[in-house]
Amino acid sequence: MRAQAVAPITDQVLAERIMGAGDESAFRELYHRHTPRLYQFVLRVMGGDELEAEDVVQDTWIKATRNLAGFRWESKLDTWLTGIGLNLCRNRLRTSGRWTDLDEGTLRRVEAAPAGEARIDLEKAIGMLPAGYRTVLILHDIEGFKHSEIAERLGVSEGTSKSQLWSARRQMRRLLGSDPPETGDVQ
Amino acid sequence: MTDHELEQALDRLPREREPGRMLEERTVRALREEGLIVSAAGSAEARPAARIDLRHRPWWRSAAAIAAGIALFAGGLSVGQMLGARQTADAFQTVFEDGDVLLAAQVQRAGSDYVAALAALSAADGGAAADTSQALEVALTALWAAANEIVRLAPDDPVTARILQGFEAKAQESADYGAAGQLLVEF
Repeated sequence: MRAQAVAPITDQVLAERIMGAGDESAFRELYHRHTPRLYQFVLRVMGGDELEAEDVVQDTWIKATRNLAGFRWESKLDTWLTGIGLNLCRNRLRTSGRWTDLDEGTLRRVEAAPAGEARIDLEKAIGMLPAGYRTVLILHDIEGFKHSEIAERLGVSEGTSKSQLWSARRQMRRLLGSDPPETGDVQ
Repeated sequence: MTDHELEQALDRLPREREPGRMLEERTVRALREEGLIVSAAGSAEARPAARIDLRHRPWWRSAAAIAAGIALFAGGLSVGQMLGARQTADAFQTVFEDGDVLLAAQVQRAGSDYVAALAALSAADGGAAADTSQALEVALTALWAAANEIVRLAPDDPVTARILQGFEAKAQESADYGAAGQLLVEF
């Protein structure tokens, strides 16, 4: 008798078990599947603060579990989780004054690379970007979102998303020491 | 660095990262408190036991095992007292409430055997260093596995938290351990 491969239980089935019977093992399975990606994303958006990132991930799961019944499975669960995590990150950054709304007219001084530090680590450079730039860069260049999707998630126009990405990349090059700083550079 | 080079560099960044071990338990506890999930009876069976690779053990673990063995022996009586301490008592209370008196007694017996074995090991001074080292590695493995189970019973227990934090801190220092973020051999 030949052994047959058993298909893994889908996210939707696990979610139904959580909603139906409050199945803890189903939750743990979902947690193990999606937390590493969610945590890495949140950690980057929060600028590398591990404690804050863990708090956001916990809040994300609580909020997601509360609202599982409203999730229509038209997108993947991890995309939905990323959206919840992103909103929670923005709320935290706003509350602590670290988030500036990404309006087209916003003028932001582009900082030069730290003096005496010609080349810095890529992750460190991402963490040094202003939160708005950082978020657009992470969503587009790392997570692979389109500008239309970023615009929808952040409540800005596609043009703003594009210009923020351009500024973010320019600042990244400066922080990485491959683009000379310009005095009084503004966006 | 061109935009393309920057994009390639960003594309190579990892997409996943494991958060601290305590986060899962914190999250599960919060969800239980909200009534969104129900504590899984016999949750130990719901997930595979901790697995630890004794074949590829980095050197620092042996050193840590020896230190832990000494500390465990010296603190043998304290362990007994600790079992009566508030947080751990709370954990055992949960077991009793579930009606698993026999299970609690089994844990107590196993704990006593564990401490007694370590005491015997310590008393057998002059044995082959390699054998002693291996036995102490196993002792440390048991301590780690037990702490992982206790934290599921009592996520806020400060003693268990410190033990796990110690393991995590050491693990992060070791590339052997850190790559996978977890231990490997069936225990």
